[in-house]
Amino acid sequence: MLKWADYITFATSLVSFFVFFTYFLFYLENRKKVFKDPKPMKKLPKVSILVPAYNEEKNIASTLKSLLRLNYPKKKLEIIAINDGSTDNTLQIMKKFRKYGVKVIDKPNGGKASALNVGLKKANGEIIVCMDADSIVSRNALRNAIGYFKDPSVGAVASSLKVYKPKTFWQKLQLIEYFYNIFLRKVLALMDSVFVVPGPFGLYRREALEKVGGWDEKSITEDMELTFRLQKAGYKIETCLKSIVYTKTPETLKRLIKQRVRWYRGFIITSRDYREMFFNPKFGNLGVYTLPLYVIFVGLLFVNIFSFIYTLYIVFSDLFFIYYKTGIELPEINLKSLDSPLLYTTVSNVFWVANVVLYTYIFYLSLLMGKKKKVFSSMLLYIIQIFVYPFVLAYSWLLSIGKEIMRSRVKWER
Amino acid sequence: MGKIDIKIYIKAAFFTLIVFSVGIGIGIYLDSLRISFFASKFEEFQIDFSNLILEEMFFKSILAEENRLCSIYNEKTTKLAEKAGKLGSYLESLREATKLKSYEFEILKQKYFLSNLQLWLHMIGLREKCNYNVTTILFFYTSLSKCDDCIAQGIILSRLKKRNPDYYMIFAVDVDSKLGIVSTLKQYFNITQVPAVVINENIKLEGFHSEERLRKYIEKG
Repeated sequence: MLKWADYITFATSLVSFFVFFTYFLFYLENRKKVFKDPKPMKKLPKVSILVPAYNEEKNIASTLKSLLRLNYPKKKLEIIAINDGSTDNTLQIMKKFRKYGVKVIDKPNGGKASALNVGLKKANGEIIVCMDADSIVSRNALRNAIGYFKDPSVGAVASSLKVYKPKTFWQKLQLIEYFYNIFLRKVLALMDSVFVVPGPFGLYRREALEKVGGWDEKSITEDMELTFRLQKAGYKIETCLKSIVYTKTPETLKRLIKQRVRWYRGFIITSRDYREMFFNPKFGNLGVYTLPLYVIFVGLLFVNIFSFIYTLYIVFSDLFFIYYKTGIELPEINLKSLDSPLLYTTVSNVFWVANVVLYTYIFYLSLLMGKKKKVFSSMLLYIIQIFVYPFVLAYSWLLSIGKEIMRSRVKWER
Repeated sequence: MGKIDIKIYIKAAFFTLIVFSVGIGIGIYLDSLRISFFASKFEEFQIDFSNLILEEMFFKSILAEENRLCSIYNEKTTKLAEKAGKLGSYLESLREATKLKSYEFEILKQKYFLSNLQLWLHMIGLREKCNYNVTTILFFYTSLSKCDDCIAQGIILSRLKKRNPDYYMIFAVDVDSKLGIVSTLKQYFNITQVPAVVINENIKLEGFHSEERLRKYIEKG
């Protein structure tokens, strides 16, 4: 007989199959375009890179060094490091880079968005790049991405984020997640649906930035808020696969959850502020598909985690009860004889296997897009990720929603 | 005005339905696998059972040798009861996994219960006629609602059976079965709750009972 857990599986599978096919079809119909970035303009535009930093003495030097190594005419490149009231040696380190042409601004602490806005006022480039101070950019990132701005409707270009030297278990899992996101963001760009241009190496058309009013200093996810605003103003957001930036990620589970809670609260606040975009055909795929889907995704995540935990609870409480009553050692309780595993494979099992197969294929495409070499070990990590990550995400979402309801103050975590 | 790629969504919905239907199809196939597995095991049992009854008729009517009948039957009936027990242990776990063809499985289950109870009656008859040293146990349980005590009692009973397979003959009865015989038995033995155990048709025990207590009652009986 079908039980409620089976119906949850059916509903989840219907949604996830549909998502798989939309993403896959968008990819398939544009596969020639995906790996080809538009060539840079003959007359390269002037670019200003803003590097806001708060207590980044450990990272700022390598970030600035990577920017100085960028393959872009020095005359057309302006690097502005903004010290946002750091209490460590960040400013001193920044100053050492003055001799290489890096402009340094020192301001009292006011948050990342305020630092970026100060930088924007001083910058003279046509293209403004936001660069997180804990990230390292690849040499050709700027040159590969700049061509997208030939299209006057393009307001911003997101880069491909990769995890910088992953060491801990959690960083390795994030490595997998970031690969997945490279695919996802590219497909979202094909759908004109990107809703966050991440902080590390996000490129913006100055005119667009100024038109929408720069970064929102009250937002905890200023990158997402700005992207929503640009989308609302009708700008196109592109993604460049070959613009690669390596970013430092949380080392521990605790810090990872803190980071996610900030992101998700940012999403909740931003969605509330831009709720008219949801289900609004005026905003195309973003309005009718991507944004509502994200909410559905979170809902299904909760329902499935709940169903999983409940089932686990029932199984273990039953086993415990039976053990308590009969005194039979647990391994002796052979509830299902193992004649043939097929005999005990249910229709729900089939659907879960189908989901794993389809999304493993998406992951494979992600590895292709991210030009990942060690495919096999990544696949192993991916399998581990499937079992671990949903819990981390669901827990973070739960905390985010809880905190948002309690209206607790938001702390900025990397 | 943003672009909505309605064509891609329609295509995606179409493929989604195909994959979903294939999944359901595989689910139905797996259910049929379970049903035919159980059906074939059940058929084997039925053949053996019919054979037993036929032999009995043969000895009775043509040879009129009741004594010989007793010496042959002890072993054969015990074996048959064992087979029925094994089938019973498959029954619930397979039924649990059967999601889409549960109706067909219910029919099979009813057929199984009928044969099983027939065997029980047969066993009682033989016990009286041939003076067999066996204990018949009727085990009432429910499959409709969650009943951890029933599972525990089932485990205790199968452990009892394992210790002395030739002595204990256990017949399970699902009280939620719609069979007339089940409600008759329930009424006759006055079963008000599950799990319930009836030993040699005269001792009724309701609720969970440990192995030790069961044995005590069996010895008394």
